[in-house]
Amino acid sequence: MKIYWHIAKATWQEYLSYRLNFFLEVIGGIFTMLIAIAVWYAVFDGDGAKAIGTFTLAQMVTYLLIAGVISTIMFLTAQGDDINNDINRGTISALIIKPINVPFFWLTRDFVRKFFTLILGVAELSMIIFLFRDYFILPGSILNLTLFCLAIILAAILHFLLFAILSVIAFWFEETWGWRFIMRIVMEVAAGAIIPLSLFPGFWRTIFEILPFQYFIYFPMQIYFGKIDIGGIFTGFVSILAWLLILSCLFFILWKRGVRRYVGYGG
Amino acid sequence: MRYFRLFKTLIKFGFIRATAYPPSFFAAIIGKVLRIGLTLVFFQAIYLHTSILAGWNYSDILVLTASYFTVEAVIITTFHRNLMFWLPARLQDGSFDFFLTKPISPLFQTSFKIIDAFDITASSTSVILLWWYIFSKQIITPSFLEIGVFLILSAIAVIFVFSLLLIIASASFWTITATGTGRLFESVFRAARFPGDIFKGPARIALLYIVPVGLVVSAPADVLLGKFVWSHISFLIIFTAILSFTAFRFWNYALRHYSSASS
Repeated sequence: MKIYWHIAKATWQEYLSYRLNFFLEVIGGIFTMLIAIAVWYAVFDGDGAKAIGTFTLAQMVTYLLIAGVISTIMFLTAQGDDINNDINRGTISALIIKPINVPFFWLTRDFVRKFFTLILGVAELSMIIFLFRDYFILPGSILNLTLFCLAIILAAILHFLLFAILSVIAFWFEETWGWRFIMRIVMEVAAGAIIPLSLFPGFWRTIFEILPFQYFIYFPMQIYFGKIDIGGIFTGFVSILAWLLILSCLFFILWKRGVRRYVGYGG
Repeated sequence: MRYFRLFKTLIKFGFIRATAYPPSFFAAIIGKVLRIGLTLVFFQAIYLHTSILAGWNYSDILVLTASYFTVEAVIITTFHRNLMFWLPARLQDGSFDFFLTKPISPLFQTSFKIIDAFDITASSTSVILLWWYIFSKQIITPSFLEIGVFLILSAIAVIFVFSLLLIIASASFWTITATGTGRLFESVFRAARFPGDIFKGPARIALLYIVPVGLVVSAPADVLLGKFVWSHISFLIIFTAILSFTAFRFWNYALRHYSSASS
């Protein structure tokens, strides 16, 4: 475990040299969040509605603020790039001969990136939340907050696995950008980052509820607001764990076969 | 004419480069089409809960979306990545020096060296399909004058974005911030997807008058919808003229102060 702590520290140092890049991307994420709030303000303002679906204006603003925070941390543009580049540029050769578990190495780096982004955005996001304090709703209870945090941690692992699977196919296809791009596009909408899934038309809602992306934002937010009962929360967590199990198995099958197939040229 | 031929060759190279990995190429095309489709799904969801958004109904939004993706297709196919991502990378590794040794304008090479074949294929197809839907359903029936003004304003929107990106790109001769600025710009430009009227207070002033991304697409879309907002149109033309003049001056200034990164 100690070795991964050192990897985390080295990754942190590496990201520190790109802090301006990360910072600008975080600001971009915050800007997107503010646009989404402006859109929903206009919707409430236009019809003078007290609630849209089951969301009041305050709930919607809170939803978009927290969704913005989660998206800023998780949905950076270069998702899965590390794994893809390690494989098709051959830098994985240096990793597989080291006494480390390579997938766990990637997971460590991914979590450092997420944490680094969170730290960079904390001041700006707190300021935005302060500006919207009249609309900001606190979680229903301590239990809701705890379960919300737990759901986010599991979602972060799920997010890593999804991109890891699409990146590890670089053993066969060399370039995986296109596949990851599709997932990014679908994920941004199907996670409920700019609009809660319950407000989509029935057909789309059904599709988005089948996909695992709802566990990134929509499901944790349902817990946060206390909009689902304990049975729903239990079912949700069982589903996340099932997704994690299936995707982990799939990832390790691909990883094992990929490494067997891998040929590293050059010195 | 020489530059036109060169541009055609660069498009060809773009295709060769992009199709080197066919599965990823086709996946990217699907992704680009999905992106436009899901934007429409997003608006469908909004209009399920309201009939009007800042004075725009769903049909108006379709025209705005088509206008946005038309302008965006031109930008991302041509100069966006070249200025935002490849220029800082070239400055870092010293390969920008090669641009200065060739008998071609460094600005032309910097802006159009890599043409994005994904977007030529995917974005243009999606945009054509979107316009075809709008015209076949007779959502709008513009006159030739309106279409002409729309095209001119869309070209001005492209020049506006080019000038803005050129200023940011020129700054990278000193800062070399690589991808961050480009990503920030992408987020800011997304504001153009929505009607400018949704922004209130300081956001309205910032996005409509200081960096008028909230106007660049909604002004041409307004014209197609039969609304000539002369104050917006004239402001956009004057702003773009000043911005492009500043951008070219700044680029030349940055170029004069460039000292090679390679040995």
